[in-house]
Formats: sequence, structure tokens, C-alpha cells
Amino acid sequence: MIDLASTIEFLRSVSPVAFVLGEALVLYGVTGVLFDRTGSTVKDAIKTE
Amino acid sequence: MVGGVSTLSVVGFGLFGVLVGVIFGYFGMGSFMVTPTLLVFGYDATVAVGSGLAFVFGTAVIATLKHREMGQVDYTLGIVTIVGTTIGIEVGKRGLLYFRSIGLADGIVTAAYVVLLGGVGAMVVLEALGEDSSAEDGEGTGRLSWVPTLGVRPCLSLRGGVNISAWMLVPLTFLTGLPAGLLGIGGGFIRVPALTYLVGVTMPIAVGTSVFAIMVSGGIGSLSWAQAGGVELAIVAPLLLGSAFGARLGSSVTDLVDTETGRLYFGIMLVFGAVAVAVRQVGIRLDVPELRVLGVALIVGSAVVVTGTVLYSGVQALRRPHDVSPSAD
Repeated sequence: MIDLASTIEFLRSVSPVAFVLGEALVLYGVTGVLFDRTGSTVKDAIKTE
Repeated sequence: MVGGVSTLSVVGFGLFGVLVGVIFGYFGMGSFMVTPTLLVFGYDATVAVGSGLAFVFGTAVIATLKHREMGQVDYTLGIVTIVGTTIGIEVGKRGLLYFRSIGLADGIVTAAYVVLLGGVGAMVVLEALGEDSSAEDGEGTGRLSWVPTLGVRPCLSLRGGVNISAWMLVPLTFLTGLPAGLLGIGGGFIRVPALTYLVGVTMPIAVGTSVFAIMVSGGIGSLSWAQAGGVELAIVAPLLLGSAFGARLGSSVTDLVDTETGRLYFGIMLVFGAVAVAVRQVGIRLDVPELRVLGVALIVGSAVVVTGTVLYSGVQALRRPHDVSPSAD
């Protein structure tokens, strides 16, 4: 038998870590797009400065 | 106010996150800066440690994915590192409990922290400043010549053409976990030089593999602290937001700045850290709050200086195309 109350309590207690993992993955994607798009432009600007 | 934390603090955490992110992305360490800073700002030890660990976990996820993109994570080495380090941490924790039971924990932890940070830092600086490469073996790796490779099977082939016996590797990773458990830290500042000088992988691979190991151990530790109510999202979320950008910058620079310069910065960072921890611990033992604050100010100040220097070196490397490694993105 799965104890629903303790399962919910466990999920609630670990939810901050799930949030951190989700935030990290979203930020990785967002910064990746930003850096890929602007990174080469910035590098080219520095190289040709 | 955001979740009980002032808006100004949230912005401050975001900026601090950028600094830690650059250092974490570049050196594969930095967790030792977060928890003491939160403690100085008056947060409960449970929240400071739990939130610090959750932040390290999030930053390690981002840094690992970035290093993976650049082919700088050796999973074989990473898994062995996690196993050896976990056993070492457990033994180290038991050692700490023993020292605590006989009333020697504070003194031993402080001395070990300063000696390890300062000693490893000084060794890395001297190695980076020395032109003589005779300390390295003939395989083109950074392994010190006096470290035995032991040809006993099973042997593991690591990235960069490094071959090492598992009988050598597992005890080495155990030894890197031992002080981590004793001092209650992530251990990146011990693991990265150990993987570079004792195992022989390049510094970028040592960093990539170290952040992979920190991601796994940090995730497990964060779950434990979250169950104890120690993870405060109003602190972790802005720190992580800032560090995401910082980690991208730091990880990118690892392939731009030459290895010796990277080692030099790493060593200087460790020496700064040793001085800062020593000052903070003296403040705690003598109950002088100003010294505790000064210790954290030294940590944050050295982070600012090292971050600026690393980014400046990256820009300089971009201006000299012949210095850029072929794998740089």
C-alpha cells in the first residue's frame, strides 16, 4: 500500500530541488540560445577590434 | 519582498551568482563562497547550507551540460570519482564526528581547511609559474612523475590518452572525498588538482568531470536538505539566474585561456580562499564579528578580482587567434 499522505509530503518537501533542476535546464537552454546568437558576433567584434 | 527576502537582496544574490557562476564554470569549484556569505547575512545555518547546496546543484547542472557540449566530461572517470568520493566523504564524516566527540573538531577542521587550500594553492601557483616541465611525465599529461600508474588490470582509458589502473584511481578519488567529508565541503578545490596532477587529465577535463560529480552528489545532498526545510527558493532562484550567465562565460573561457595561465588563476584563487577562511575562523574563535565579515569580504573580493582577470584573459585570447585552441567554440 502506498501511503498517499506521506507520498504527497515527500513530493512537497523535494519540490524545491525539482524547481532548481527545472530552472537550471530552462536557464541552460535560454543562455545557450542567447550565447549562440550573440557569442559569435561578440567574438568577431573583439577579434576585429 | 520576495518570499521573505528583500528585493535588494534578490538583486544582490543575482549579481553574486554571476561571480560564482564564472568561477564555477571556469574552475569547477566555488561552493565554499556561498554558505559563509549567507551565514554572514544572518541566515539560519540550515537555510545557509541547504540553499548553498541546492544552488551548487543547479549551477553544476548548467556547467556539466556546457562542459559536455565541449567534450570535457569523462563519464568513466566521473563515475569512479563519485563512488570513491562518496566512500571518502562517509569516512571523513565519521572522522569529524569522532573529533567532535573528543572536542577537537573546530581546531582540526580550521587547520585542515587552511592548510589544504593554502598548500594546494601554493603548489599550483609554483607549478604554473615554473617553466620546467620535467615534473610531468612523457605522455603529454599533467600527471606528476612520482605518481605510480600501476599497470595492474583493470586499466581505464580516459580522455586525452590517459591510462591508469583502477587500483590507483579508486584510492585517489577516495582520498579526495576524505577531506571533503571532514570539512563539509563539495571538494572541487581538492578534486580538480588531484585529477590534473595525480590522474593526469587536462584541466578542462578535470573541471568538466568534477562538476559532473558535484552535480550528482549535490543533487542527492539537496534532496536531503530540502526534506529538512533548508532550501529557500527566494535565495536559490536569483543566485542560479545570475550564475547561469556566469557559468556560460566561465566554461567558454576554459578553452580560450592556456592551461598554465588557468592553473595560475586557480592557485591564486585557492590562496585567497585560504587567507579568507583563516581570517573568518579567527573571527569565529575570538568572537570578533568584524573579522568574520572581513573573511567573507576577502572571499567575495578575490572572486571579483579573479573573475575579472579570467574574463579579461578570455578577451585577450580572442584577440590573438593563434592562442585559441582548435576546439574552442
